[in-house]
Amino acid sequence: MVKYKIRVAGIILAGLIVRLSPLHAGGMLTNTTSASSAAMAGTATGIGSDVSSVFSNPGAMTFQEYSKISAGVVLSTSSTSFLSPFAGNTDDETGMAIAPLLFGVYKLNDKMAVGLSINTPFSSRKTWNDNWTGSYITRESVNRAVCIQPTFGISVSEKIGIGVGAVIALGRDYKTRAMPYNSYLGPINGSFESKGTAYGFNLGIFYNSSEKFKMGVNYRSALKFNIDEGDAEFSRVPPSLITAYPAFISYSTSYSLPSVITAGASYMLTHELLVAMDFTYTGWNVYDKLEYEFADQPDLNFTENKDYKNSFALRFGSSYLISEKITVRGGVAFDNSPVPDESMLPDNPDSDRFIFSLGGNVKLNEKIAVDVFYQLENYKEREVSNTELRFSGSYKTIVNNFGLAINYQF
Amino acid sequence: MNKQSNRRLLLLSSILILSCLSCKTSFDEINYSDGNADFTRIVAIGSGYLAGYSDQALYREAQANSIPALMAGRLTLVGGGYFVQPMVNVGDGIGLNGNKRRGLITLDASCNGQTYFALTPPGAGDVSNYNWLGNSVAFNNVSVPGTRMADLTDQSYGDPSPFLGNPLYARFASNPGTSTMAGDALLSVPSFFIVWLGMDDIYDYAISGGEEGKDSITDAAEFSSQFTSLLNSLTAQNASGIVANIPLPSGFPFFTTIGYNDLVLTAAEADELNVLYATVDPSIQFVAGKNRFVIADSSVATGRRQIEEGELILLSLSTDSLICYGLGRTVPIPAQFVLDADEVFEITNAIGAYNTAIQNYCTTNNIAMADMRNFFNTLSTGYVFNGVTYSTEYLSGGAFSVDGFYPSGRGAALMANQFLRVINSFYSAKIPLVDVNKYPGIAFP
Repeated sequence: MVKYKIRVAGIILAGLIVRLSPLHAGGMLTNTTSASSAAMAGTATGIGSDVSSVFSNPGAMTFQEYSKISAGVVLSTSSTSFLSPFAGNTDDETGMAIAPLLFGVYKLNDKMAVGLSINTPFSSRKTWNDNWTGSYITRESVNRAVCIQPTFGISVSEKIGIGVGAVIALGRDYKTRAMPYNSYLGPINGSFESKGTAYGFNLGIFYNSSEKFKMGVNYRSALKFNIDEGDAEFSRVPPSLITAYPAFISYSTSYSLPSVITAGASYMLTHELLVAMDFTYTGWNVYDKLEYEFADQPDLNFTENKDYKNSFALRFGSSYLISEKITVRGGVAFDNSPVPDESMLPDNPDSDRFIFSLGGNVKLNEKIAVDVFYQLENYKEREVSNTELRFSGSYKTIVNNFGLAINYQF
Repeated sequence: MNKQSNRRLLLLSSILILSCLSCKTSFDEINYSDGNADFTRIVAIGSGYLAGYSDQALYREAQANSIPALMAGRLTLVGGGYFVQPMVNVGDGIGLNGNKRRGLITLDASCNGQTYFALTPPGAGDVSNYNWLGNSVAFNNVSVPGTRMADLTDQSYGDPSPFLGNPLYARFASNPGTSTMAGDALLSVPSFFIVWLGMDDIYDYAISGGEEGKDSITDAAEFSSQFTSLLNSLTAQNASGIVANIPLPSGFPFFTTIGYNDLVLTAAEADELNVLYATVDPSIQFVAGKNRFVIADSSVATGRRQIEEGELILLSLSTDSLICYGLGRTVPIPAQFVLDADEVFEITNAIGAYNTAIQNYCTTNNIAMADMRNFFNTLSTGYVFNGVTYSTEYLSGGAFSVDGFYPSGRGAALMANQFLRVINSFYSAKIPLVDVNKYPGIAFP
């Protein structure tokens, strides 16, 4: 009976992926890829005991004792304030969002396992009010990639496991903004939406050195999205400009999301206390220039200069076994922003950030356990001036993430 | 681990969670400062550019967004007082020719099917705006469209009798027919002045296509002495202030929209015209592609010639006469729509002389100067504000109203920011600039 319920929950959650908005993390690379690692500020690569290893390091899949499935959800609230030299303070209107997590590992035998992960490793989203001071730059912006990753893991020796998976990334890039021409009713509204699929792979190596010490490296390839059929819509267009701004027109674009390499290690200090560390290097320099081309109306072509630079994150996490049934977790991380001062815009007001997390795991019975976490992402206040669009001011961002996952082992 | 420490951990985590759920990111308001200027009583003295003239008329919305009104709105943050303007009635206002404000319509030229923008017909303005507003308040904006330097001290300029004065001054003169603009400017005992004068002394001439007579350029020495005495009367009351200089014609769509060689012909059209001119005036020749327009010129024997680079065609020339009636091809463009090389030289020369006088006065008397000549030059190459590019392109540039000479609401905001920027640096003040994009630009039909 219990088993049935969870399966239903898993299916529902998987279905939600396509409909629900993604995480509201300010930086596009999220820190909430699973409920267990999020509680430890994102450390996971060198731990290997959780079912979400299928994502964080599939080399560890075969070292797990059971087959497991985990379904969860992340709720995020993101608040950004912008201080304009012309308009004073503006608070964003992004509000709360929800994103699903789904992981499964099935042990074929002691040496081999197959698994599936579905989560949203890349996500950014910001909504500002329609008439705010940056409305000609952005009103609403969503950029995310949901990754579906069927994965295979194998132990090549008693201590070394390798996992490899295919990544199917479902990307969505959506933005609205005011266009520079006005009717008597105000500016023309432009919206641009593209959905595309990119393919990549991931590879993890896990070294199960001893009961106490483990380490691993995980690599996820870059994801290149080629969009042939983006949909642009222009509304509130004065009649004299309908040729220049048609109600519907398609465009093409392409962009790449970066490769991510993470090395991590964990150590059991006592029987109860585990400490872990991860270092991530993200190849953001592939996210340099987004060109939007309108074959039917080349006057509409535009380019967004992103010029992101490669970035890193350093994470420390710990878990403590309070009793047979209860584990508490905590962590702290530093996430370095890939966005340079000169190209930062309010569609993704990024900054270096500290991440603090707390959480735990409660075993309800032999088969079912629940993970919970809370994570605070505190972005460093940042005063920047975008040189191309002459948009300057200060940004402050705080993100709260809450998560819950139900694990079932068999 | 015992129960107590469990509880302590739980407490700690709850505090952390609750403490940041209520975290606010909002910024505190900034502290602004007036530096070493005093904005309690502001007076603006100028012509159409400071009065809020726009779309070929003075109307209420544009007055509300006049350059000094936008500045005064910001100056209230640093102790600036009320800024009272002689507002016209709600409606389409009134222009210098008794016309109402003009907007845009799209026209489908039946001669060749080309669609283009045209101005709404110059219907009659609301003449009730000529009614005297009384003298119970001293106005802070003593700017009147059409004002030339000499008008400031001319009592008859406020005479309401037909054809004597300027009814746009008479309507708010403290004592019509007796008071002067220069005198009225002192009524509020200004502590800070915003002055932009000399525009009409040069541009009346430029806009009329170089007509002598009442539109002729005021002699630079005369301008300089009248300017000095006006400014002296203000500084004598211990006011400080800011003065703008004069931009070049290349900074206005009115003079740049129709290029000297914008006559585009096919090979067949060019051949046809060459045959036509071969007998009457063989010096006039055409090729396929871009060509110089034919203009009227009484100084040459045939009375016509092709325009040279650097000579300007004015926006007052209606687009359909170029498109549909062969103007500039078979019919020379009349002189009133053209500034020839001599006229352009005269204009730029006068601007140079005026600007030197303005600069010298400001330097000697320690008054701030807004370099509008430089700003209009910048604008002509494109000026980006919060993601929107403004330029001197007609209509699409967004900074100028449909008349091509006076600013749109956004253009006024851009110019207000130039004044404020200079005030900030000159008077060590910290005054926020205006959020340009929220003001009205060009409304396309």
